[in-house]
Amino acid sequence: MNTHYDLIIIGAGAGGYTAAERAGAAGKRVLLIEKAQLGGVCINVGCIPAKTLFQSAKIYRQLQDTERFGVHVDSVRFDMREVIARKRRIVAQLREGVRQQIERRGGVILQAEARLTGRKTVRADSVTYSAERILIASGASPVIPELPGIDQPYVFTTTQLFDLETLPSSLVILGGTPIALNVASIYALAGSKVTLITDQPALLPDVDEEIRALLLRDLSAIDFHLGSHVTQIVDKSVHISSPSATHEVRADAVLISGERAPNLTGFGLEEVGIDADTRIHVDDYMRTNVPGVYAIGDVTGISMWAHSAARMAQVAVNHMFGTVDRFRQDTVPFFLHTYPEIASVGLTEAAAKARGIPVQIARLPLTANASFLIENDAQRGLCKMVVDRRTNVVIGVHLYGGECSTLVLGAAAMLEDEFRVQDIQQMIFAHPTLSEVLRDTLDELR
Amino acid sequence: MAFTVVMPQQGNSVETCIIYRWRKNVGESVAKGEILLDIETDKAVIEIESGVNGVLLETYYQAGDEVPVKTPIAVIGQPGAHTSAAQPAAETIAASPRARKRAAEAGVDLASRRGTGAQGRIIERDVLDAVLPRLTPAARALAESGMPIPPNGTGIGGRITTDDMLGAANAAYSTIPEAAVDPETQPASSSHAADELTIISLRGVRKITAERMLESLQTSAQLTLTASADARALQAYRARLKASESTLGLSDISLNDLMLFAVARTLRGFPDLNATLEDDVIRQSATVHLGFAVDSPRGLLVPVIRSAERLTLQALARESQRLIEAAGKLAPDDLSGGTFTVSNLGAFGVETFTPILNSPQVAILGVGKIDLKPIQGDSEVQFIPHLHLSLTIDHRAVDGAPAARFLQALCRNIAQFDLLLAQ
Repeated sequence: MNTHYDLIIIGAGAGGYTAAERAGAAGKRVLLIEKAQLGGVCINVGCIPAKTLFQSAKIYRQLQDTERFGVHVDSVRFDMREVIARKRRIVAQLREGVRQQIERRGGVILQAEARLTGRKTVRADSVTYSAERILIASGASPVIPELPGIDQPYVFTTTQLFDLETLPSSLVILGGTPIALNVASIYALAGSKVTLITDQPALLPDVDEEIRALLLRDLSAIDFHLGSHVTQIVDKSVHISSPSATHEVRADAVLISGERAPNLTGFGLEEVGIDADTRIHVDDYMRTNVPGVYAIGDVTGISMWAHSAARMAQVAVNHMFGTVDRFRQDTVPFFLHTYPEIASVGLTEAAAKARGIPVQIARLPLTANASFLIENDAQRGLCKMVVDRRTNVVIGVHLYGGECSTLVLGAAAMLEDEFRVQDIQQMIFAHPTLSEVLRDTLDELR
Repeated sequence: MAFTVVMPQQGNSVETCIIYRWRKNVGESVAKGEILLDIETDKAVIEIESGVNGVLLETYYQAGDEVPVKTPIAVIGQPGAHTSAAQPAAETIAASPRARKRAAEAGVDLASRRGTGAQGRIIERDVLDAVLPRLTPAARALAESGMPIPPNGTGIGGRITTDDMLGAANAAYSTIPEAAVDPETQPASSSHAADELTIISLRGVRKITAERMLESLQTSAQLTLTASADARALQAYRARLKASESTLGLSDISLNDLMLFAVARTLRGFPDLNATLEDDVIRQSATVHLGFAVDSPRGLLVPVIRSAERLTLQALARESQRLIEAAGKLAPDDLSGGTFTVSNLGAFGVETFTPILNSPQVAILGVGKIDLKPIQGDSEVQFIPHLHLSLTIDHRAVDGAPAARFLQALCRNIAQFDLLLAQ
């Protein structure tokens, strides 16, 4: 096997495999080293399993609420064993797709533990490989809290939960991250009694305040314990303590879904002198302090989403091989597969004000949109757009309701190219679709 | 088909680069990706690769010439190709002052524009036509209102955004626009025919050093404190390293590396000295990005060891070795962003000196030689080796007492270097 490459990538998650594909497509010789499975968290135990479960749970939920559409369904049943079997097929298919995409562009995939041994060398399977550039995409892992009972067999991370063939009748989620909320919503839809416990005082602190309140009100099937912590897990029961009281919640299954910590140890970062404390520090081009060594994705701690990692991969590969590019954090889209969905891109009113940007806010209830009304009837929904008063540029789009995540691409494109209100008003929006709210909301501006 | 090589833009602030040397002579063939020439900025020497295959047909500048960025410097093509289209910007280009100003701001080569003014004169509109497609619609509106257009954008596909425009508008524009269009034609140095005087014009690193040193002294309140540290532990440790087995890779760790290590670790507890002062704002850094002065063939350079306080002694020594070895061709990033600087003249027999602050940093440590110092012991006077230290601070940001406390802590850590290693 060849031991010299143009690029060695450590970690084959969403960032690592995207970089391998992109560099391969540019004609570079790429070695991708992964100690576990191709696809990383996203494909195996994260986004893809979650979305697969969400799809089944959503259909299940919709079939219980068909009468108002004039459709009568006699019986509906959710079979977790079949859902998980489907998930396994989809995961396997996507993983194989990744392998083919990389290999048909000449990339080499090695399943092994990698270790940096120098600026341009990586050791794996007792062989030293060298490359002009090295890309670290080692990802992050869930932080497991130290807690009596945390080692009980019914305490899981998503790795085990998303493989559980029976739907737990009660699920307790420890953690207040967006992902925790997402999983809570999926299992509640499928019929679990879900409790979410976090020591944070509020959920989704970065989301627009009004939209956050709407979402949390509509997720009333979930029992939230904010500002609380768990004291122990014993006999399928989670003991909670909050400033006001202590109580116990029944838990057939417990999911740990708190913070995720960048994977920094065990592969030679210190020896090579890479600047890392709780994360690897990189610049807008994904360069670390060590020349020729780049880092992307969760390990950088900048934005821990698969789509951010994939974009960082593109930036890093572009920069390595001479194309001007940079990672722009302000246009990272955000959405959750809750029911209804929440989606946003750009600055909230609060974030804009914190930066001293004078803004104007446009808001429109989604029930004003024909398509939304047809699809969702009386469900609530909202579109809020943040406009920079100085330039009339739209700098934030925040949505709640229905399947609003479908609009986030269009909104991101508008932000990336700094569309002004008058530019958007000159676009044609297909009718009747939800996309029209992006124009109609701006029409509310005075 | 002839291909024009232009002086590349090296970062936003660089307006001119010096041709350090041509690697190819006119008439030689050059392959795509081969190094064509080296250029020198105020911070580093950078290798420039040829973007095409061909023969170097013509060069417009010699080694030592200072050339504005984006100016054509050479032509590569097949022998006999027509090269006149690729002439450097000549002083004869007719352009309006506003056009020149725009071109200088946005990095547009005037020679590449066709004039639509009277008698083919290049007017502002002709320059804007070249730049505006690179702007977002909102940035374009700002440009049309007269705001300067920066040469580089941070938006999608390198597009210039409103943020870039606002940033450029705030940046102090010190350039005389015409300087960017009319390449300087003076030779780098010229010796007077009859006498022994060597006249060297200030350029590149020398020029930047001159400006920075003067600016540092003129714009800050510098105060130097001196002290000396018991050097026995340091010397003993250095002797052990030197005698250690070569397989450990420790024998090359120098006394200066030990000093850098001691400084980095000591600074952890003194954030007010690990700081910069700019525009009436003090920025204390949580990490120590430690600059150290290196006497390179190109003059004084101060490479920076990132996060020095977190490195082991060996890692720090390796990094300093790398930076010293690469001194001539360090990337700009290796030379910027320091939070504290050490300058060591001890090897030259200097006892003490007053280092000049590396602006905008608020402190710099000068390291002198090791001397024997008489110390009153229990029964007799002992002569103990001591290391001379001088600490210059910016009194605008740091007071004498905290600076003295830092110096005291540093002296203690040097005297107990073995204990510092354990911390």
